[in-house]
Amino acid sequence: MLLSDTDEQLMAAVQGGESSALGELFNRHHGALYRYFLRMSGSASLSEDLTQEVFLRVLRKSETWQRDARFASWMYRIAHNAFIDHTRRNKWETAMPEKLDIAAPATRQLEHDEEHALLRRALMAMPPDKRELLILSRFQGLKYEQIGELLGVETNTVKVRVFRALGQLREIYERMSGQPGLSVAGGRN
Amino acid sequence: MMTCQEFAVDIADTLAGSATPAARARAEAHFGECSSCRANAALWQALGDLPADAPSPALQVKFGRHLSGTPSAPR
Repeated sequence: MLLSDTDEQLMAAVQGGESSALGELFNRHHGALYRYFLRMSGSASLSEDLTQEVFLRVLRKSETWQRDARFASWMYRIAHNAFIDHTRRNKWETAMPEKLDIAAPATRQLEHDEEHALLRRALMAMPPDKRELLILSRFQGLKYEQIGELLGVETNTVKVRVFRALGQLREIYERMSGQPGLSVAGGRN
Repeated sequence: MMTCQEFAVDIADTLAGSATPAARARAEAHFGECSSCRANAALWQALGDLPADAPSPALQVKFGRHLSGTPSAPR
């Protein structure tokens, strides 16, 4: 195993029983996965547990990974399912996020920190399925095509849903901030 | 007059940086006319500015123990 190996080469090594390859995949992806779960759940401790659970599932289910599949897409499918399994008791579509235990910034008095906190709360107030669309597309770096594969929908359907989810997030943000329009810095990619 | 919904795909592609020049031009022309979609685009940017949280270093250690089959240290 080489550090220059692609994710897919590492995953092939995992299938071949090389557990050190899984360690390298963990090194590469555990931070991003943790942030996915943190933004989905708002709980740091749960996010660490679920991040570990995903990699244990990667090991257990390694024989189901197909060599022409992108590792990241497959990993996020496992993560998506792990989160659904966790929230099933609360019903996925309507589950409200758990209490936020994200560390508060030390300089909360600063305006941008307050805006960030408000934006986080608005994101957490969204239905989980819509929140996940924004998380996967904005934070996790997945292409719309990959999200479509993960969720089993057409790429253009993902784009329309992201567009709608963004509008819904803005409505929630404005309601929470008590003012129309954004106080966050403008601009776009 | 076209509705915002009809620009959804162009806007989503533009926000993600994957739009064709023509799609981006259509989205940006719409942003010029629509304060709501302009605000949504600003929100997309703001999302990207949220600080990235990191897991505790203990997570890596804990997973390494799982991987090596070494039992976790007692708490």
